Amino acid sequence: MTHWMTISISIALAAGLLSFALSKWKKVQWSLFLLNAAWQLFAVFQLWSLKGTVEKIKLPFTFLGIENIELTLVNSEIGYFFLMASVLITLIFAVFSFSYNDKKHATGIAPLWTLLMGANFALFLSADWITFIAAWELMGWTSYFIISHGKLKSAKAGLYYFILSLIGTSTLLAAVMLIIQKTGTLMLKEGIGILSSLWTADGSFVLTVAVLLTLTFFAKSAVFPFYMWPAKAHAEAPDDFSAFLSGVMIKYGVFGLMSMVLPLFGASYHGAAILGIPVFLFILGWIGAFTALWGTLLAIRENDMKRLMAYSTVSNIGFILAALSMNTYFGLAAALFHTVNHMVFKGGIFLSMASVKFRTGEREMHRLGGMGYRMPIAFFGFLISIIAAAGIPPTSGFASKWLVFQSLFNRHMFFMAIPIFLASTGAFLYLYRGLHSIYLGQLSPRFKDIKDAPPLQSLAMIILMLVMLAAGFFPGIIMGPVNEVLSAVSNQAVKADWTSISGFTSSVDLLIAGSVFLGAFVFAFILFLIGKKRRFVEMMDNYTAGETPEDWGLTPEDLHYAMKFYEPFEKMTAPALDKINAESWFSQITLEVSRFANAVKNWFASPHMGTLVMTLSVIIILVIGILL
Amino acid sequence: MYALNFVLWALAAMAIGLLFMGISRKLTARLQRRYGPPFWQSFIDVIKAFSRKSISHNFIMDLCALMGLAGLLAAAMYVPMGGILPFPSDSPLILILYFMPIGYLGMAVSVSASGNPLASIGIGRALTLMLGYEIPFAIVVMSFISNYGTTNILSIMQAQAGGIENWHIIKMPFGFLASLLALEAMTGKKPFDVMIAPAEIASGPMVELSGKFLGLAFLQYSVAVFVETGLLTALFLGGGATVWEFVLKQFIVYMVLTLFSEIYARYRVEQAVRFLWIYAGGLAVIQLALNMYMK
Repeated sequence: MTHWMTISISIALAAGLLSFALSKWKKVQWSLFLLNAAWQLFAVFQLWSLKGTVEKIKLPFTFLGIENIELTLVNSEIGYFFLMASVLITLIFAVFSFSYNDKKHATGIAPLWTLLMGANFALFLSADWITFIAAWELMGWTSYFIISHGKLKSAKAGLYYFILSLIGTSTLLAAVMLIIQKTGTLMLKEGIGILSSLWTADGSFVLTVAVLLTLTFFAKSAVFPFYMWPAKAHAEAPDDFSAFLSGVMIKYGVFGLMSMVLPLFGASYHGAAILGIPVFLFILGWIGAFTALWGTLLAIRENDMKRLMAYSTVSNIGFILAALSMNTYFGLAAALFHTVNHMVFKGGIFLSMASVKFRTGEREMHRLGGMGYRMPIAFFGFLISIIAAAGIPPTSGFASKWLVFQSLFNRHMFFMAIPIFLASTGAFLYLYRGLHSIYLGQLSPRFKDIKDAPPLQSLAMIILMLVMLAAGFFPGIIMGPVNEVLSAVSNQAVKADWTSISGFTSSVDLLIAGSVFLGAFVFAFILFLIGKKRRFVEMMDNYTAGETPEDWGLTPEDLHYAMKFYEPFEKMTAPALDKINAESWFSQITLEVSRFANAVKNWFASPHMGTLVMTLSVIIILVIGILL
Repeated sequence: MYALNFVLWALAAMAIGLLFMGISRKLTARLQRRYGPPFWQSFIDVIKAFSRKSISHNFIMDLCALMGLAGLLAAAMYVPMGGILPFPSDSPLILILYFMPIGYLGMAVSVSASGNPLASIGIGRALTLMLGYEIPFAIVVMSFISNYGTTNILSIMQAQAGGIENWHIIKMPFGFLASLLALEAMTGKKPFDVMIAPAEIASGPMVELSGKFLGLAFLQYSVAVFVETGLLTALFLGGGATVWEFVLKQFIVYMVLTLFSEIYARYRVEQAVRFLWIYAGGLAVIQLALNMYMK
């Protein structure tokens, strides 16, 4: 069998359609989804040794003067990397979803998600513009319906997401039309290649295309000024789908930037540059740094746990963008590594939160608290994930943050690194806040008898935890595939082996660093054993300055400090956050447009105005006629 | 061999930290015209804490208390006391900067699990303050990277060899001042002690700790003192050819911090962050710009 790619996509689409027909049997739908994910993983493993293969489907149509257009799929290095990561993580999500969608929590999104997996497969492997746009559209539509999933509030968020996607899609269409007209080829890579050599001949044209494509991918990846949609869409989407939305879907923009925008600034770029970075990418880098900072500051003041993590995703995309815009192989490595790392840890965070919501039905953090004592596996899933998110060894996060900073330092972008460092430290604030408000503090009596997540959900979280820890001690697990991409794209590779990575300013051996930490833990444990025995007391048995809380009518819920956790800091940042608010800018634009439209409508409503307009137009036409 | 190195280094770090804390208590007392406790009082405190019964609220509190001390001890392994590293590494500075937060995170999770709101308030303030001091310090580190193109603390120490005129305190005065301010906040000295604030939130994070948990917190703080003063010594004061020289310099740094602490009142947390960003951050940015320009 040779047509692995075409067959896999067809299977996903067929399974999706079949699944629609089976909407009565929810478990069958989810089994189909799970089977499809497993099949995709199998197919991806088959494609491992088939790098560079091309599959074509001829169509008897003519498009823009090109006869007999072909739909082409290619197993390219970057595409394969993204596909592998996304399929692997989706299989884990699928295991989780299978258990999550029981009678009470079923959302009926399985068929759409199965279709989306087909689009996902086609998107990363598409080799021509038509396939790419078709996959992009299918992805946009299915994800819109999934986010809406038949709830009014969600439908609003879905519409918001959809309209921003429309902006992206229209700029994409415009860019593709321009590219095809200029280059005369439908093939993606060739078109970009021809464009990148046109800098001296027609620089402004290439720049226009670059801007249009960048807008598309910014809208998809929620980069400033499109940073508001994740907070709405991630929060309102079904809980298990949020993990996919935040882990995988937000990376489509990153993939696009990597494979379509960056190659434009290759060796034949001769325009203006700052410290060796093309001005366009320099601006992109600063937008990335700003996005990272803004996402963090917004996350710090968020009280809804899913919205908080959505802003955190925005912030992480900022890291990736900044590293990417350095336009070096090292920046690419950092972006790829952080992409995978973010998939894993954000997946872990969202799954853990989903299982909390599965048990409690709460999303506001101040209404939760103390879940860690009842749901230890969800707690550890969250804890390890936030350690990875904060970039602390011994988890996969350390290597990825370190690579991001190395790529910036290598280009002497120290000032760009300042907001990124601020975002990276600020991440501690909101991550800890999530941990504290959901899992620690006082346990509300309402949730006294809550049980840990069901076995399959726990399994998914445990797998993610193991991945993060394993990649923390052996970064080569992720670095190996990253280096394969690098050597294919730029003939260079980051010096790395299973346990260590070398950068420009230093190299780290994570196995030694991790072992030192484990040794320190054992040392502390021995000290703990030497000390006299402890005894466990109740949660409410606390120091309260000599008063008994019960006497005052205080319940554990009152003693759970979670609302406005960082109020002093929030007060400090509020003026800036309120002033620079893209949402209000967009609504300002809407307001102006509707005001203008109303004014125009009024002109035509009144007879006097009508006479005036008619007279003026006649005069203008006469003048033009005379002049010509 | 490595295990022996580890135990020696860990014990040394804890002992040095505790000694500094004891002497600083004595110094404070004398400034306030009290007699003060003996300088080995901190050792007595720790031993006493470990020998008393203690209470815990749940397994998370136990586990993360250990994580707190472990993070700081792991960071201490990369402080080049006397130019020696127990675990050879190319990037000790980065590892220190990333191991220290795991200690703080462990401590934070541990005390949050106690369920006392005062502890959570303290942690919230401590993390906000961390945002204040980490930024200036990171900028200072970047100005070193801009100068030397490396984060290897040993080669930064070697670059300062040959007399006081080569020390970075002379060559990079703005950076030194910025990191001194950051260090004042890192060690939780006044005016940056809002997270502890005994009269206000009953010692904040420590409020629920008893017996060996308090002992672990004490040890964690002592290791933190060792690591933080060690960083300043290695980066700005030429490190030290011998262990004694290094520790003496650390001692001087810590006493300077203590003296500062005694003449200031407490900042509110947002005031502290603003102060650190504007003054320490400003000085650090000046240093970074100078270094990039000179390069």
